Amino acid sequence: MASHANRPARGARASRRVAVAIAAGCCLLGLGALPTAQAAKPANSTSSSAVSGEATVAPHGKHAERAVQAESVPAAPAIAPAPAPPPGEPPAAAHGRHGRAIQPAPGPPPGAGAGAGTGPGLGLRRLDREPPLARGHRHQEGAARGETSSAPGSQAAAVSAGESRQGAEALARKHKGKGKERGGGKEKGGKEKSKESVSPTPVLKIGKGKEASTVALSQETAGPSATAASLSSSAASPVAGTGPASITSVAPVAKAIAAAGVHTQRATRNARHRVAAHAPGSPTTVATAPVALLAPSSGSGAKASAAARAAVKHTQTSAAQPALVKTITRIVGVVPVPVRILIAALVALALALAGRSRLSGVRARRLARQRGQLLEDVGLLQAALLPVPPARLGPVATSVAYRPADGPGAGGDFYDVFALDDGRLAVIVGDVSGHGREALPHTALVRFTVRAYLEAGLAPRNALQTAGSVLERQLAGSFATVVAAIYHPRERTLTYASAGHPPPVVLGDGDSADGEGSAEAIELTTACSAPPIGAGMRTGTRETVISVPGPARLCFHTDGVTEARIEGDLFGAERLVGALGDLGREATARALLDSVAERTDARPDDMAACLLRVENGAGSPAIVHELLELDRAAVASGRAERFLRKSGMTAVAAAGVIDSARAELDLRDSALLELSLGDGPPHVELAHDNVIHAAALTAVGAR
Amino acid sequence: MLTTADTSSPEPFTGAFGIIQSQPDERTSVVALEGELDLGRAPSLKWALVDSVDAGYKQLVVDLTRVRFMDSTALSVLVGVNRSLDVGARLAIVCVNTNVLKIFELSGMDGAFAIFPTLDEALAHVRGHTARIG
Repeated sequence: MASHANRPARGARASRRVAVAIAAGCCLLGLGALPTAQAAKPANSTSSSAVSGEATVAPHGKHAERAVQAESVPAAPAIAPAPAPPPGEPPAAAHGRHGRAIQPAPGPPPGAGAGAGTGPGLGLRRLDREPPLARGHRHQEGAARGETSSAPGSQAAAVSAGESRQGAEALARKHKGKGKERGGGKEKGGKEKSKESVSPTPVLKIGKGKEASTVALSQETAGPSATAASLSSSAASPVAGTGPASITSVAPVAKAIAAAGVHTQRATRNARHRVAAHAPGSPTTVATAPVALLAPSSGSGAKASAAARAAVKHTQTSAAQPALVKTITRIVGVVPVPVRILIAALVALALALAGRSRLSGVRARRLARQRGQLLEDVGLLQAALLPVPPARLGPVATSVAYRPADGPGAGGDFYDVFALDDGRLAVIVGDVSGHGREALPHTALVRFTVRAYLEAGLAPRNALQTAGSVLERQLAGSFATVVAAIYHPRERTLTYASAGHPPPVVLGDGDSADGEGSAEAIELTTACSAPPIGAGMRTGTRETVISVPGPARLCFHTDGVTEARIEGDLFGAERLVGALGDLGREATARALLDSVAERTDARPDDMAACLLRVENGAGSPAIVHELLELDRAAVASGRAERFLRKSGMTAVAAAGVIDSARAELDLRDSALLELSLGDGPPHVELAHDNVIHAAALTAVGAR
Repeated sequence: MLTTADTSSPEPFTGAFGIIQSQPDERTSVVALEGELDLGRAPSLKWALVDSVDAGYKQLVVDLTRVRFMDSTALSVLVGVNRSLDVGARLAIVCVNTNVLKIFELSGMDGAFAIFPTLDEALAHVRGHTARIG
């Protein structure tokens, strides 16, 4: 089944989803941790001359690293990474939307910073300051100016496009027209920076538009003329058209670095470390990255006057997201690490549970769907076995009902009500031995076989007899009790034959003129009942004709009704008659079964009922004719005599009939006994012709 | 004397039920039932009779004297066993309860079984027939 095959695949998918979610959650928390760690550093950097160079992080870690390398290698000239536009390219070509790209001087000036070309507007800005765009633009231009005006070998400033509130501004100021006296300017700028860097959230953030950008900003100052600002940026900007990853790194010149001493090296190491950690980050990772710090020191190499610190957040997502990330970062920033781990674990757990519950929900829905289909199928099958007849067939009101057993006995009952020619009405009610699924095929087989013979024109007795001989083999051990009946509306007679099945309850409802007649059931003889179909014996040996001159109810039922338990006893036919009387004329079979169910304590077998209501006319129903096929065993066992006595014959008359029957049975295997019951004493005849044909009953009756 | 009792009831609403098997002689097995013989208990009856047949007993007596009522399921068990008897084997039923006799009559199976009011008559029947045939 397809659904089975899908199950593991689904599970795998779900678990993958959960894993991804957990990873994302952890990332988020981890990112939050970094800025706080960095936040602690600026304080130190201001007090000591250390260059608290914060790490530079770029999604394209390679470039960032290059920038850092440029810092650390004193003799390194301007470095421009491969994808970057060539140094000779006019600056205009690298213009971002807002920011202006900085390009190094065309020549290879020793110590000149390499310009960083950025695609889209890249910005450095403090998280708590805005508006970044305009400022960034301005600052960057400033920085660019500063850069161009800076004397070769003096400093290097690499500024990536974008908004930089601190780094860029500082640089801009520093360089603005201060190629000559950089020391002072630098110091000034550095001071400003340091002032700002002390502010609570000295985090710089990069990100504009949907482009991924990274800025690595690092500045080192060593000696009077040593300021190195390295700003490397990479931007993937389809919009800007500078290529998917146009990177330019501005590497500061190096003179400075020699003087930077230990601090510089440390900073470099730090930066490298960070870069290494973040290098694998792909453009798809939403990452916040700490950023290099500018840590200028005073021109004389004395105390570092300022440490500008910037944590640059890198984001590749939409403009709306930085706000979100900002908020999350702030929140996460105040949460202690153990709590964060705990939260991460809880989040992971919640995600896992959510995945699980979703999985079981899917499974439950599928099961419910399958169950619905099964019930539908069962309903169809049951409808085929238990049809719903029209509420009225000719002058007779009909109703049927079926009520499954409480216990394991369900299945096996069947009924059918259908019209025959000449306005006659046929009823079949039966019960196949065995229950549940095994009984279903036999149920259908018996019902349709008997129905076919009735439709073919056979009398009920002959239909059962024929069906019995046909089905004996097919039932393979199990047997079926069936009652078949035909109601003739013109003659107002009910002819029924039973094969091991309880006879119908025939309830006269009194004269219709009276309106409320007393319901009275006629007593039907059960002696010499025919055995069930499939029991290995000849069946269809008896038939009864009842005249129904007035209003009456004919109730066919299965033994589940009479065998329901009431106070440790069987419900029985008498209580059934009582229930019918209590319910009144208009009651349906459904109401009857409900009533029986209410009255009884337990119903171990299925209950089926078929109720015919005969209207108009006057008079009580009565047996008018009995037909009994006798064999030697029936005569020998005394059953035949019992039957005759029950039918109202005197002992003497019965004995006479039995003698005649014995004589007849000496000549052949069976004798047909016809009992005509009228106003006078029963009239008995022995028929010799036992050939079954459609008009058998009529022919025999006419004699 | 082999005795088994089945008091475990799959349907609690039916009262106590017991099966007592006895072997008056080496050819005869008597299965005496007590209580209510219905859907839930019919299998017990079936296995008791099948065990007797398998053990080689040719004369079987089912004593329903103390059975309060019997339903069509139990009847079908008796019918099945009756039909599966070997040639020469004989089954007799002891029954006086009108409820149970009514079931036999209503189902038309009263002609299929040899039903006697007392155990002695039933035993005489199975022994007599078995002796004659065997």
